[in-house]
Amino acid sequence: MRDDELERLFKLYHTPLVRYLTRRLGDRDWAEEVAQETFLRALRQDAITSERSWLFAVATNLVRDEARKDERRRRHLQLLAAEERERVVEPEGDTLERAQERAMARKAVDALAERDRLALLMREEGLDYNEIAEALGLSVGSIGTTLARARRRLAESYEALQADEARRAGGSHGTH
Amino acid sequence: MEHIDEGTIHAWLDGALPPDEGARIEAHVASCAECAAAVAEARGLIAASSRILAALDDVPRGVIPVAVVTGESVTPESVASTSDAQKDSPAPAGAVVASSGDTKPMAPHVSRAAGRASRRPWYRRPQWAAAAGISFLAVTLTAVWQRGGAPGVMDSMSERAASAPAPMVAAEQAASPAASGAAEPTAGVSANSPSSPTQEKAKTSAARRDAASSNEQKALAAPTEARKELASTANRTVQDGAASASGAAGAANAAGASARERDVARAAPVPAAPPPSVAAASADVQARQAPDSLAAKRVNPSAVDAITRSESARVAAEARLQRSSSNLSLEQVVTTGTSSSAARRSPIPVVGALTAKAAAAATMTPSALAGCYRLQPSDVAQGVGIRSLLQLDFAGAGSDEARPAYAARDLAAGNVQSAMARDALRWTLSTDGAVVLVRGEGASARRVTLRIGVPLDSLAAQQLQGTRVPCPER
Repeated sequence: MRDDELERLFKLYHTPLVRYLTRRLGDRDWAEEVAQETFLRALRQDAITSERSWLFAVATNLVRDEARKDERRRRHLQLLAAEERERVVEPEGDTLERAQERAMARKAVDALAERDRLALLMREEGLDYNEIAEALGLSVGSIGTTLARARRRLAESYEALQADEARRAGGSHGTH
Repeated sequence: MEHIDEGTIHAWLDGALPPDEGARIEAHVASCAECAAAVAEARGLIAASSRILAALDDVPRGVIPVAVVTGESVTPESVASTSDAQKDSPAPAGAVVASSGDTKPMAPHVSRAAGRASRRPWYRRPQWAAAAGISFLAVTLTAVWQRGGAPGVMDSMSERAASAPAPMVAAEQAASPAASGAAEPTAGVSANSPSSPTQEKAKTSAARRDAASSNEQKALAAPTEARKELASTANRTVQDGAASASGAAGAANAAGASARERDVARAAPVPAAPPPSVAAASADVQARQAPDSLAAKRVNPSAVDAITRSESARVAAEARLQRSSSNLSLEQVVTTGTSSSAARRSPIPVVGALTAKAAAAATMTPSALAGCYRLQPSDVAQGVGIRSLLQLDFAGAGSDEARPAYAARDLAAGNVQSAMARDALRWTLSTDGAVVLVRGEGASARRVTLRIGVPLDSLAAQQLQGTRVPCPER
């Protein structure tokens, strides 16, 4: 692939790809690394027929491969991060609410079946049914059902988490 | 016609059906109440899922996923080989479970706390810390008893800060350079004009440089009438800053507070910042003319002489102000600050802080802090807003300066008045988050340090300005 073609690809798809990966991984840095690697892979390709679905499929694969390889290293970093969190006094307050929302959203997304999750995240980035089907190796006819199920389950689990949180909050207020 | 299945409804709403089929469904929905209800529900689900997923975008950089992936690589072939029955199965054990807020343990059989404890050096373990604390307390009490009531730190502080009724406001930027890179809201980047990560960081850096330079320009342009009082106020503040550095405000916040106080130097005569475009343009010109200016240094917190340059600039500004005459009303005081080390270390890179400080005589009351402050992010490129107060640190009367900070969670959203009357300060945030009203409630205090943290709407690194403004009529 020529540089100008890569640049065009980058301009078109970098933002949605990073957003997709960020939602997938929960880490913007990691998402950007994977996105860059994805574009590097594209650079090595002679021709790509379905660009967007190709990019999203490669990025999805990279996430899995890299995570598998780096499991031990990531675990170590996790522990370091936990110690750092312990050391630093974090401000509390409003961000707590947003953090709770984010955590609930993450839990709800994680509760989805892998294929449902990927289909939903890709759809949110504007991939059409054909592209999603191509990226995930599904039939186009099944995408509507997959998305319907994913959306319903996502909303239901999020609502359940919200209800739990409200119950907990109500209980803690009652003790004051 | 039979009712439409849910998958088809979603495909229709997603525009994935051919026109003729779409028209057929549309006609059916118009005549079938049950299907119309299903369509309405599907619309709700689509909107809800988008909203939920959008919450995941608010992720700071450097968040390490809690769980990891061990699953197989996906290829179209491998996915296609999965049976339909597996579609409904829960995520495989190796699925990515990455979360910034989640605290699921990594391994079920090893608790995180146990893991941490085993890696701590001996001097950080709780039992040693407790022993050290008790020993320190015993020695301190003995020393105090032996001195027999000699003047302490607070007394000397109050002497040094003999008369300073005016509060100063310092605003802080609260993110590291790395965090500033994370600041660009993803949604705000147009697909038609994306830029590389390097370019985005450069943009943010430039915007911050512009903002800082703008503040410098404001200070230089201060009317002479306004300068003298500002200078005296700044002098008092600096004196008190030195005192406070030794006086140890909240133990946990002492380092950050003293760093902020050193930066309480920038002043400008306008009650509110000029229009963003004008400020940015003029700042840009100035930055180009003086690439080694304070503004240029300030955007780089790691610059060795950043503080020195800041201090020298402050001293020069004060000298200019002292040469002038007349009064400067408090309404015209604008100060800015830079990131505190604590904020830079924080994994939440979006917390700015406004510091208001009153150095005063022994009878100083918190009412000196009373007033309204316009909180204004100077980096307009990011278009952030201030959502609510985060916390209020208040050192009360007497020698109780080391009282630990506490969070004012009651102030979660705008226009919520704090119920924390015991510290004799109440504050209100306007509904749009732009103005904070601080009211004193009469208790006496020798020194008051008010630290107001404000979480921003985006992850952008922002420089905040706190401008004392006339309070709006109620």
